[in-house]
Amino acid sequence: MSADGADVSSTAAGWLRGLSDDELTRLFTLRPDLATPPPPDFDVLAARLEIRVSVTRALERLDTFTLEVCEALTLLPAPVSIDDLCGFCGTAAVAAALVTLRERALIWGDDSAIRLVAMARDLLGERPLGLGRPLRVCVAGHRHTHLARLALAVGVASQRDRGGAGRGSLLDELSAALAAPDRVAALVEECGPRARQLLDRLAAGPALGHTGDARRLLAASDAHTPVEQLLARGLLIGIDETMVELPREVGLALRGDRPGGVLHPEPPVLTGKTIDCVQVDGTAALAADTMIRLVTTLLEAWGTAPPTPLRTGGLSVRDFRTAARLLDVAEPTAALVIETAYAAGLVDTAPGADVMIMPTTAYDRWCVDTPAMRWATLVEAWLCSPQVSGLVGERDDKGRQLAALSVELRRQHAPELRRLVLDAFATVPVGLAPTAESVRALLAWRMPRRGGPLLDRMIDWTFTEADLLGVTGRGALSSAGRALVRGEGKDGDGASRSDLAAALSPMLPEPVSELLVQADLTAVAPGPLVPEIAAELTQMADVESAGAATVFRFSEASLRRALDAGRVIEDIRDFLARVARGGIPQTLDYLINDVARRHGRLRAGPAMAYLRCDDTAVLAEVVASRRTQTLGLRRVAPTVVISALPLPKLLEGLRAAGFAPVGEGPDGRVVLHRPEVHRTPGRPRPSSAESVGVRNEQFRDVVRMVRRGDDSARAARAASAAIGSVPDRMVRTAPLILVTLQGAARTGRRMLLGYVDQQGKSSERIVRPMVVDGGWVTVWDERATTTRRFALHRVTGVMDVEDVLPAAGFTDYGWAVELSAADTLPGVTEGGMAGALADAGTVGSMPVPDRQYPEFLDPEDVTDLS
Amino acid sequence: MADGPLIVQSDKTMLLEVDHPLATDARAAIAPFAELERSPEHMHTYRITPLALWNARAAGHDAEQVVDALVRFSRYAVPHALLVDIADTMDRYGRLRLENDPQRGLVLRTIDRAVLTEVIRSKKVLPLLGQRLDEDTVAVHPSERGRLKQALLKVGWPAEDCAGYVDGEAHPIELRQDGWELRGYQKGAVAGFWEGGSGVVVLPSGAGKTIVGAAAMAHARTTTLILVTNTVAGRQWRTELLKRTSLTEDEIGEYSGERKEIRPVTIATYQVMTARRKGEYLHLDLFGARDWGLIVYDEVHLLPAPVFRMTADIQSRRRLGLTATLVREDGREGDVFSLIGPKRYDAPWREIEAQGWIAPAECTEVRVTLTEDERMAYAVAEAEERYRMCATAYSKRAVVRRLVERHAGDRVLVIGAYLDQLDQLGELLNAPVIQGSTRNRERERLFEAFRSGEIMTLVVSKVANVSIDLPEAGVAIQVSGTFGSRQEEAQRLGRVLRPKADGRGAHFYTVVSRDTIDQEYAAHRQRFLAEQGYAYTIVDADDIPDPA
Repeated sequence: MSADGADVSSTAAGWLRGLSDDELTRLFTLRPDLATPPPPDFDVLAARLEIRVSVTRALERLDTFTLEVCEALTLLPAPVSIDDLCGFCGTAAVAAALVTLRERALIWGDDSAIRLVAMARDLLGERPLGLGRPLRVCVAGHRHTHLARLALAVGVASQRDRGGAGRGSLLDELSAALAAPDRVAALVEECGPRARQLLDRLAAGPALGHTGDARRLLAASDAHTPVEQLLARGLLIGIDETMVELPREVGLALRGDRPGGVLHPEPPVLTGKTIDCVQVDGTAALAADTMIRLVTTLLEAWGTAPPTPLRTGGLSVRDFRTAARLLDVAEPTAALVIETAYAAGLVDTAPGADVMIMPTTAYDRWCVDTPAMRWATLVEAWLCSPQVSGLVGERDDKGRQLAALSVELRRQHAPELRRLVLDAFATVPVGLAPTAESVRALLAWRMPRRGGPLLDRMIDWTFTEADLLGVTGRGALSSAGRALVRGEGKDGDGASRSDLAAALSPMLPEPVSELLVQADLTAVAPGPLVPEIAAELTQMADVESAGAATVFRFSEASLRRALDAGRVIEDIRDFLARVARGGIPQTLDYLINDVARRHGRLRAGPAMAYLRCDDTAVLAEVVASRRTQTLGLRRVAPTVVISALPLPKLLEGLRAAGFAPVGEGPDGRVVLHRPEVHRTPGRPRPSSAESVGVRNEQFRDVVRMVRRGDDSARAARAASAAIGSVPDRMVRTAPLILVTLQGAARTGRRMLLGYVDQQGKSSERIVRPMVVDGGWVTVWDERATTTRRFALHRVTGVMDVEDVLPAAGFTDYGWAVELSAADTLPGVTEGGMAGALADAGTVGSMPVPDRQYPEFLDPEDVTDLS
Repeated sequence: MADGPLIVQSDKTMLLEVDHPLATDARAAIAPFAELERSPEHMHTYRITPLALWNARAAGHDAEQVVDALVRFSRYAVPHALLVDIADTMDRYGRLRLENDPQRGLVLRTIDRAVLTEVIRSKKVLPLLGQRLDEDTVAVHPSERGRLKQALLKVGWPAEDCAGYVDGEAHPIELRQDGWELRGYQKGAVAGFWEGGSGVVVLPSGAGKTIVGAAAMAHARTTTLILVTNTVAGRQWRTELLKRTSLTEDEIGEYSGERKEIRPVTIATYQVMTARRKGEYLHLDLFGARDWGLIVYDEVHLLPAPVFRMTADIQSRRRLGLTATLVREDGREGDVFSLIGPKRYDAPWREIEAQGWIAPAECTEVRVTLTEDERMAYAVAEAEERYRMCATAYSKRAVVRRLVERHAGDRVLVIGAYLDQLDQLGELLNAPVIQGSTRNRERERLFEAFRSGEIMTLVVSKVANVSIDLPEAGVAIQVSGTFGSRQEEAQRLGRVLRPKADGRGAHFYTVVSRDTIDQEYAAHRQRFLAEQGYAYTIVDADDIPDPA
């Protein structure tokens, strides 16, 4: 290992080591999977940069232009300088994309020597920037005779005279010929203007085209249609029955001085209707208020009568529909209300054997918050919830309906997707309501590798849900919604609830404290009521119509309810006189008097037993007797006495006191019933603000851990170098094994592979890794001269032996014929082939199959996959 | 608008604050697409229904205007879902059109194939359709025109009827504008109707609906069938037509229970149209008796169900509906829309309101406290006897007497449902009693005496509800009714509502027994009156001074 300077520039691990702590923390924040579990040192971290899943994930989060830059990097030889890259792409906007890529460690090295991680090259390199695959890959399935015919048409046919021209050399020559713009131009000229149009279209990308004639490979003279002519000259290659591909060489030649083609550095602009800001905020505030009301209504109902969840979890369809009816809203809205309340921790399943869904203790706290604060709690929970309420009522693969509150609604990416949609909203000027189509287009630009049906539907759902929650009003982001998005967009801290509440408060209409009470026994609150008045009024009147205003109706039953709750008639009248503009109408006054007059005329009370006697004197004696004082007797009427003791005890006591009572049946006993109200302790839900802070702290710990581990690993190496011991060059840690094998698979180097088979027997083999995928490595086993597959978790160690062991006697499978031909070729090289073969000669003592191309995986070639 | 007069609720109701300076403007703006539901003193409630929206659409309003009116006058933001719903609903009208194709006859044509496919799949619609002629067109048998429109309305895709009308038998009718002329809104109403072909003109009572009918006839110049609620109304029509048009007595026929004349202009009552013997309608052929070019329906909101069925068969004739309200107690607004036609004209309220079409009426509920004996009798009475018990309580008699004495010098009607109670009252007040068994000649004589002021007090039974010849009075005292019928309350109130020559107010008393079912029914009726905007006060019987 050389000095650190060289180390920084030449290996990913060295580059990582040179990053600052903040940069590393940022990397872990952006790609948390790299930090789990914490890597022991930078070599392991560098190895993780090459893990397919991790790279795939990181690529999914890139926008179109950044991906285009990545793809451009796959086309350029590594390392490349930023100037060359800008030149290739034809835009200076590349620099910003490079920053994005570098902080995600998808590229490494400084601007003078940019390298793309090899796995990204594998994932993106097949048809980058709308270009096709190289010619030699395109023709992988073609017979030698076909190639020969192509060569003839292209004009490199002279070699045919040699006889036995090798496939490899023929391909090299063809590729070289088709990479020459002049030659291509001449060939295109032969095919005519329609073919030219066709080619231009494919050259702009994508390079694939559908046609029924893909397999019609005719001689150039027999070809008539444009496709036939292009196929005959190798300008198009048929890759299966119906598809043709424009080979990369031809594509680049056609593109000329813009090899990168048309790139998309700017996101598409969102379009839509412009809404007056006052309207937006007004509508949003109304929606926010409605949402709070719906949650309250639902949870009050569930607090009194909690529904029982299904055995599989979730709310039964019947309970769900009942809730929708109760709220008087459409079912999707009801689903949103239920899921949002759940996400906010306001409702949960009670623990214990008798599982029921009921409001939590957090609900009681929520109820006493200000409306703005209540809204903030709901909206924040909605944004972070993995539950997708839009799925409620749909059917899964087995035809079962997805229930609200069930785990089947869980979609891991839901919060992220919601945020993406809201972020899109935030990019437009205030008051613009973007159309769903334009948001779709923008998101397609922002993350072309995501997409899929869930995203598509999440966009629609987020539109409606944001409207229902008041995050947007009439489709445009409200002031409060802006606060929500802004908070989320900032690094680290999310918007705190109080920030959100503060943003909503000014939007809410001024509460009113006056009522219009009318002769038809209705009272109209012409706006949101002051909470205290609303609470009192709900006790004595029923809500008939809710919304911005509320219509209450007084009835005998509603007034009786108020009296039952302990209000007295004067209270009610004073209250109404205070709040009613224009006084209490006479009809209501009469109604109140009527109800009050009748209220309490009948009296009921608890008694365990009664005692009655027609002779009032006897009863007086019983009550007065000193010996009955313990029986809890009370005389409620001249002929009736009640007791707090159950009948048997009363009878016993009376008999003991010397009386002779007779017991009566249970009729007339008063049963008191009070509805039970249920609560369960809520489980804590992390708020976004907290979790971001915690996450940052964790990542900083990881950075410290990596540095410590790395230092000690290097110290150990330095120590062993100092005492002159020869280190074991065998790589033995799992991530390094993986990355070493991947590297070998790309470069075609030979490896010593230690392996433990199923019987626990260990062995070592010299192999040439071909493909590392899905936990398996496919190798060419030199000793057995066959391909084999090894499970990665059984590989105990690998060591690069390319330089140690000479390659004598090695023959590549499937290439045996060609290789032997190539070996003999140098003597007979002529013309255009000489250069290519000379190149091959300098690479090594034998030609190594180009690992960049997946043609070796072609089923026809791989015959012995065990 | 920060402080507009209108509050739009999410349940599609709208609250209009009547004392607001902009209330009148707001009312004018929302009247085309919302129905007035309640009109108590401070806040009127309007409701936006699909029918109201389609009516507005048929009248040429589009969703944008509706949304604009809501947003302009609304104090708070309008729920977004409601705006979307309005646009969606209004968009449904006119996707399907009934047209007269020169080659293929009557067809249903669509501008939206998906809609046609949807309605064809409906079991209720399919039997009414003929052959599918091409992708956008289906043949319709002319006899199914009305039923198809009804069915399409039910599935939520109301069809626009552009199939035109038969001209009918021509008959010259001229308006005779000597010393009077059509008011602006009347002209507007006729023009609106004629342009739309068929439909309903909504004008408040007293705004001259008959004249609109006459003007429409003069415009059509064709034989006309006029359907009215009862004979009296029919005779009023006849008088008006003679006065306002060139029609002569010989040209106008009366088709009622008494007379069966069919003339170029024939006035028939709903009652005779719905008369049946052995389940067969007796006078169905009246619709085919002549080649009518115009059919006028008076008081469309009272149109009986059988007439709807008959109307479904005559969809190729022009139909004019006249009414003060589109709200029907039986909820058949949809049939009015599809069979008579959409609303073609709505009166500008301000103009008509200024004419004072409601006479000030003071409604009073007098509460009588029953004696202990009466209460006990009531408490133990059988359920079916209870109302009778409290409604005919003896204690009411003294109150009625005091009320009559209080209004000495005014003509007083005492109205009740129980005959023995009425007889007792007649005896007590020394007033004649008119009931079902009273002979016609006797009735006529008493009514005449009442009109002339010879008799100041009349005691009448339920015949007052239907008897059309009952004269108007200044005071009505209701002692018992048919349970809680709101219809009855309105009819009885109507007895005293006609504006008086000297402009004095009318009085309407309801005497009820306190703490009984009588009071409950009264509350129900009272709520109805309060919703209709009548001031209602409650007094205790003891508070009514004894004039003696």
